[in-house]
Formats: sequence, C-alpha cells, structure tokens
Amino acid sequence: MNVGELIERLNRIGALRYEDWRAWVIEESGNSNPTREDVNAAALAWLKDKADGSIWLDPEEEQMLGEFLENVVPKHFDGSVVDALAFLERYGPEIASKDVADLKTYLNSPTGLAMIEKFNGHTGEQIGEMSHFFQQESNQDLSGYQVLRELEGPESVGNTSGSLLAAVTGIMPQQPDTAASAAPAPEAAHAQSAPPALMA
Amino acid sequence: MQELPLAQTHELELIVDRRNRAVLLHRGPELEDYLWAQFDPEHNGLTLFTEKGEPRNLGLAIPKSFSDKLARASTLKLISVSERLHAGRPRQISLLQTTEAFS
Repeated sequence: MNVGELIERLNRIGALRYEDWRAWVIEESGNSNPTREDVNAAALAWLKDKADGSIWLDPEEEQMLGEFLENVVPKHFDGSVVDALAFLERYGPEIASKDVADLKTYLNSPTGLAMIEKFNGHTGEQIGEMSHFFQQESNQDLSGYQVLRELEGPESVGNTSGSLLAAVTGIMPQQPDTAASAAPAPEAAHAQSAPPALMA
Repeated sequence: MQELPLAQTHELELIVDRRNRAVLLHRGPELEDYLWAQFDPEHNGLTLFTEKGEPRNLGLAIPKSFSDKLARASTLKLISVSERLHAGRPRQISLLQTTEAFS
C-alpha cells in the first residue's frame, strides 16, 4: 500500500478532510461548534480503535495506521491527527508512490522534515514577495475551510451579504455600516449542503 | 475589450479580520490565474492582476472602515466556493497598496 492509496482510501470514507471529521463530530456529539481539539480527539480515538483490530483494515493496514498514529503524529504534528491528515492531503500527492511503511523514515529525512516545516508554516514568511514561488509554495497547507474558521471577528463586503462565509463555516461576518456593492447581487448563496457522511 | 468587474460574474465576499487577514471568497466560473492584488485606498478599489499585468477590478464599493483594515493586509487568500458550498484550497497572493506599488 502506498501513500496515494492510503489517501484515496481515507478520502473515500471521509476520514481525510478536517471538515468531514468535524461534521461527523457534530452529528455524533450534538455539539454544533466543536473545537479543533474536540475534533482531533474524536478522530484520534476512532482511528486508534480501527488500528487495533478492525474489519475495516487488513493486518498490514492496521500496522501502518498504528505506526502513523504512534510515531508520525506525536513526533511531527504535536499529537494532532487532523494536522497530520491535512499534511497528507496537502503533500500526499507529491509522495504518492512511497510505500506507507516507509513514510516514517521519509518524514524523518531532510526532505520530509523540510516538507513538514513548510506545512507548519515556518517558511511562509516571504509575505510581500510577488513571485511564483510565493504563490505556489507558501502557506497553502491549510484547507480553505480551516483558514475561514480561524478568522477572528471577520467583516465582509460583497454581493452576498456575508452568506457565502456563513454557508461554508456557519459564521456570519459583520457587515460594515455602509457596505454596498457596485454590482447587482447574483443569486444568494444557498443553504449549506452536508459534506459526505464520514462512515458507517 | 475590458472585462466586466468580477462582482458582475461571480458571487464575492471580501473578508478582513481583526488581525488584518484578508480573504476573497468567490463562487462562480473558475478564476484566471491571478498573481497579485492591488488596493487603492484613495479610491477604495481592489484589482486583481494576472502575470501579464492584466487587471480585473472587483467592482465592489469598499466602505472606509473596511478599507482601513484592508490597507494593513499584505496578502490576500483567494478561496473558491463550490456549488456544494465547500471551500477550495486557498491560494495566497500578494496584496499591494497603490502607494507602495508605485513608490
């Protein structure tokens, strides 16, 4: 099993993307606004359970998942499995052909460490540099959803009255007092559609 | 022929937060590959530019209180929103202020 297959599998069951985990936590717990820590704890518990005897995984996959949770997640992602999964989502395609059994070794290599460092945001300081490098390589690690969720006190102008952000994140931005659009508003954003169900 | 302002072809939300982080949410046809954005505080206009320097104005009126915050942002994250209202991967571009662009 290589990294590409792992990602495909996680994606297929809705266990890769943070927003899918979050939706699952909301559904399971009834907490409409779980913190990132809540989501991480639930994801970790679920995955650990699956890594320890599951009809969902074959023994080799169980071992891989266990290694991932026990070695990669604590060491490189401060125990945040959702960050580790976000890393896989972001960089997995670049290392898709690597065997998952080699993932730990790879992530400890200079290339892997540089990749993690970049993911963790330590090299995204080139703000203001207008270059292809910046556009392509800088802080694109977070999913759009995550970026939007992390906004503090968002205020918006536009032709949707804030309904796009509200539909994606559930957060209604403030509108400036004199907010106005120069253009006629296209159709309003629709109610939020449910992300794919996580798994049975 | 000059292109229509983006607000006439897309749903747009230009967002800034307390920490002067700027995001442009857009929904509609796929955007061109914009390389940087330029904000003109004097005229409260925000324009995106392609690599060839071709401009596309947002066509949004930006109130003074909002523009003060936007003037302190140095990057702009472009995030597309799908038909199913899922946010796409952010693409970060530089946000220049007119004064610094021509100084």
